[in-house]
Amino acid sequence: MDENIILRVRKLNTSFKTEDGVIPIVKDVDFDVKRGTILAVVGESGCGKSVTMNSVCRLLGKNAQIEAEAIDYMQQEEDGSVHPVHMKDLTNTSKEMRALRGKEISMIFQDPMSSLNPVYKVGRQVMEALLQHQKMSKQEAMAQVIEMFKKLGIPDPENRVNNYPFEFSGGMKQRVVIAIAMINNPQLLIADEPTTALDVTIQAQIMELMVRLKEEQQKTIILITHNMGLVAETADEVAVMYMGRVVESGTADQIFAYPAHPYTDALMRSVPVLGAMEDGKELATIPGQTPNPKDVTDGCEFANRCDKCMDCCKTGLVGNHEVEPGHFVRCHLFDGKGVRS
Amino acid sequence: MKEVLFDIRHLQKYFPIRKGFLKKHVGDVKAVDDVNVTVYKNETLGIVGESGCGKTTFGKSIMLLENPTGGEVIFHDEGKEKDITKLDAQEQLHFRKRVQMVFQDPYNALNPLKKIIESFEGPLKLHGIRDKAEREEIMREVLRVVNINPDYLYRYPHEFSGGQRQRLCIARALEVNPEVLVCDEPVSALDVSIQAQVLNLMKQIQRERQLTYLFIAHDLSVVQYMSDRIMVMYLGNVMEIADSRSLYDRPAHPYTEALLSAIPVPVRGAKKQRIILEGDVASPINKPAGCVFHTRCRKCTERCRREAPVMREIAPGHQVACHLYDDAAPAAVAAGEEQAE
Repeated sequence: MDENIILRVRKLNTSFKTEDGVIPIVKDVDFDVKRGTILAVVGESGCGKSVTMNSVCRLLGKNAQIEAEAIDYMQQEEDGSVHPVHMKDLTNTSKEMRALRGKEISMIFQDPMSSLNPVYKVGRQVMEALLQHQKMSKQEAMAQVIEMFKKLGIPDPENRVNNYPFEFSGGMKQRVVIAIAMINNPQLLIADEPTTALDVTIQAQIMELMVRLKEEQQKTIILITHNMGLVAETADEVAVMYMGRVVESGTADQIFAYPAHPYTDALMRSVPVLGAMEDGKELATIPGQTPNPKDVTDGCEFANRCDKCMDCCKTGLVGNHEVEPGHFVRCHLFDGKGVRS
Repeated sequence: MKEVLFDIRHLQKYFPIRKGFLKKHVGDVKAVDDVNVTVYKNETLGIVGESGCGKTTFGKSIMLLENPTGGEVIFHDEGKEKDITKLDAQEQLHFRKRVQMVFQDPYNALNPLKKIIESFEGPLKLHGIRDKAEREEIMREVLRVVNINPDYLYRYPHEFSGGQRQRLCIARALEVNPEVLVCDEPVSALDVSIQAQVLNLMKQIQRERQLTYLFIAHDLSVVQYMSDRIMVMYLGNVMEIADSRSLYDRPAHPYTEALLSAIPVPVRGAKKQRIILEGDVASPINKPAGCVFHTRCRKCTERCRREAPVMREIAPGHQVACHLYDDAAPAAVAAGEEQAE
């Protein structure tokens, strides 16, 4: 198995049991994450990008059914040897799963305002993650927390650890959340819309911090976002999702140079680009709206909004085609066509 | 020749902070402080800034949803000039018919217990259209304008998607046939593919109905797409006003430069010089002395800490409040622009 890969997911299917029956939310998702890179998972709300990552980390409720061919995490030991952990065989609350979460894989959530407990001091909240996984005294743990605050650019860390979340601004709160995620020195960080709730100037600070984690500490980051701008500036690899499926994946250079799937293409043309809009030119739009997952029928999920829709799109499964080495597209437009050189 | 619609002079809105049993006045939140700007007929004036910069309060003050605590807003109405801060009740009603507002969150802006027709009838009744058939005709007409089936008047808000709801809000604003729409973050709650639909629709309505827009948003790429001129605000003060092309090509104020550079551009390899602002926005209660931006400005001088800069015109239609342009001889201005690029 490739040692450069840190997380390998094959045929992940997640569905939810509801009053209306079992509704598939994530369908046949495959992806690999390479060590020391940033993978961006892009899509609109409801496309299943968060559910995919929560399925990997097992953070879903009891009504979720997770099935997969493989969810393998390659754990690296201190001596450098790598051995796989087959996460699909573990239960949500098993000892092995709990040992992975926080220690090897950790998550940064969207809204820093609601991911911190308002009645505990932030230092204690960061320390908790440390005490969970390592044997040490509270004094030692607090010293490490202060060290981490320093690294993440929180000014005056010795005093700030004794503050409550409401005493922090949004950007600083997100740094505290990142500190909780980073305190056990995990190898894989899953950041779920980490800057959506923040102002652009603060977003720039946080994204710079994430890129630095990758470059200086060789962390692997999965960035879940809907912002194509952030993807262009930070990602190495991209997976575009629509209605539970990865419709296109490849390196960021490939996707931006040649967005092959009609959805990716439309998504890119529907956001205003600063300074690049000619006067009077209109934005491209995607007609209609994302359907309710329970109404999705046979065929390509994007068919009824696609301007290149053909008869064959309306029924059956759509194949995944490699249009360039490493660049996959799930669309009938590429049926029977070879790899573009 | 551009026709003046609003002439806003020294507009000020302070919210008093009262403490203790006697509700002693202990300070003010200076949400809008000494704003001077002219709005022309049939243009879109974009207002950008980070959260808490006073852009929403500014929009509300113009509409009399907040009573300004100082300054004047001269409204040019059919050749007459009126200061809207001094209107009597009858005149206020008439003024409100001319100026309508579209709010940020379409989920909260429509009463969930009322059918669309009930929500829509209110303004028409208030503005004296007593005939029921006439009211219904108007309501059907505005729904057609925003591409919503007029028969949906008898539905409830929960039956509509986010994009449709925002279009309904626009329709409701249009029914009294206003001249000015104040749009407060009209697309920030919407998904990217829906954003483009609403933005294009707003542009089309503006062309057809000769409307004037005050377009308030935090996303500079959206503002630039929509606006003819842009006003940049920071901590209740105006930093820069320019037409949207020159604001992008030749940003004069260091804050505008930083704001522009912080916005991620969805073009691969468009890596530009990024200016990362240190720290957070200061408190609007205890504003920094001198220039309000000096605590985060990389070009800050001794003078900026002592003395607040005044707004000056550095090129036709391009105003900036910054000590860098104090010796606003044309040559110095040109030099400053080169430096900015």
